[in-house]
Amino acid sequence: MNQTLHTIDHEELAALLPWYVNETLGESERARVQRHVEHCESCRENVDILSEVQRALRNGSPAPLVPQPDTERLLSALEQRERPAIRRTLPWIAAAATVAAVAMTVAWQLAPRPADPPAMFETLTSTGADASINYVLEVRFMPDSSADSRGAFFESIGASQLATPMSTHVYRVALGLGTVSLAELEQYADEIESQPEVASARFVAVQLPVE
Amino acid sequence: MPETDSSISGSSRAVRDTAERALLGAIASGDRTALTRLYTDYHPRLFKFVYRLTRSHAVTDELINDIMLAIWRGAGNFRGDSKPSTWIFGIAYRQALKRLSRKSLSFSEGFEVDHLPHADTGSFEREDWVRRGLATLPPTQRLAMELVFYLGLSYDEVAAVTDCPVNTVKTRMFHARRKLRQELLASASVADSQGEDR
Repeated sequence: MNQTLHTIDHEELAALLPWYVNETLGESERARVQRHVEHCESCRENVDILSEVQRALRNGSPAPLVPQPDTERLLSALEQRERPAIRRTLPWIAAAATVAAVAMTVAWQLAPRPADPPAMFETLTSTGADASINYVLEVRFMPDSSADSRGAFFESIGASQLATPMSTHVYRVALGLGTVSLAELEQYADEIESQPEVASARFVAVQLPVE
Repeated sequence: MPETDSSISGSSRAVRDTAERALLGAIASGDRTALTRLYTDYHPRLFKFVYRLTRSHAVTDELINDIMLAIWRGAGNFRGDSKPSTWIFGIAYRQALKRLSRKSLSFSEGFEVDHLPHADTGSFEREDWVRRGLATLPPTQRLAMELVFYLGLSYDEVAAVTDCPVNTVKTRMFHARRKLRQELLASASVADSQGEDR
């Protein structure tokens, strides 16, 4: 019983060691860890290791020379990002596009497909809105992005949302890009991912027009 | 943020928090002057934090711009239930994590051995195993190490910045510590065998 309690105490207190070392524990927690460390060889060893890491991280690298903040550059970046930045690249992608049926097949195979196509594919193709190729992009947004900014973002890239979001911050959207190569798709996903509000972006499927 | 708050009194900190909340409110309503003011205030702290991870002035500048643009677009989401600095460093954390998780940049590039001063061989060897150990950590664990030991954040603050439960933060630090210990043991083992060879 005592051994069990000792183990529980050890695990709980060992988990606090990083903050014992950086001296941010409250007084009562600090005192408990201190008493434990005095009698626990393993924790003493870990305190030594963590202290070494702290020294290396705090003192191991020379402080960089911090340049003056460049507000003009920031405002210029803001101007640029406020415009529909992604859409600017679409004509380029379209112009560079070559017929790439093989690439499309590969793209279609990028993501595992369920045995039955999801309803959203059927819905989109049955509308007959356009007979173009739609690429399905899965975008995961940063948790601090707002619904407005997500909506504005989709508008800026000309994407239409497929069904309801997979979760608050994960959306699948359809993009009509024409015929593009796999490399171009990857480049485009990279560009979307570089936007501050986007955590990750990847193409997961391609939707071919129904005859 | 202990790194930034330790040198000022509690009342000054409260005044600063209030001023920053007002700035975020103004930014949320589209005030660009408020954005540049916040940028000027935070630039030195953000630069030091980001530069440590990227080791590139150009990438650091770009990343800080991304952080400020994310603040510009997300200021309306700041509900005031955390300190403005915690919220801002949370954005910095996520932007840095995203950048560092991408294939174009790795932590090993971000922590060059040449940047470590080594007045004596002993300190160099000690720092070397730390460097090698840190380079083996996944981005979330490496960033947790930076938040705890470079910025000096408490576990509650790390949880707020990383938007994770405290237990997740403790688990990340536990795994990081275990890997670093393995690196230390491996390093000691190599040193022993070299000693025997001499």
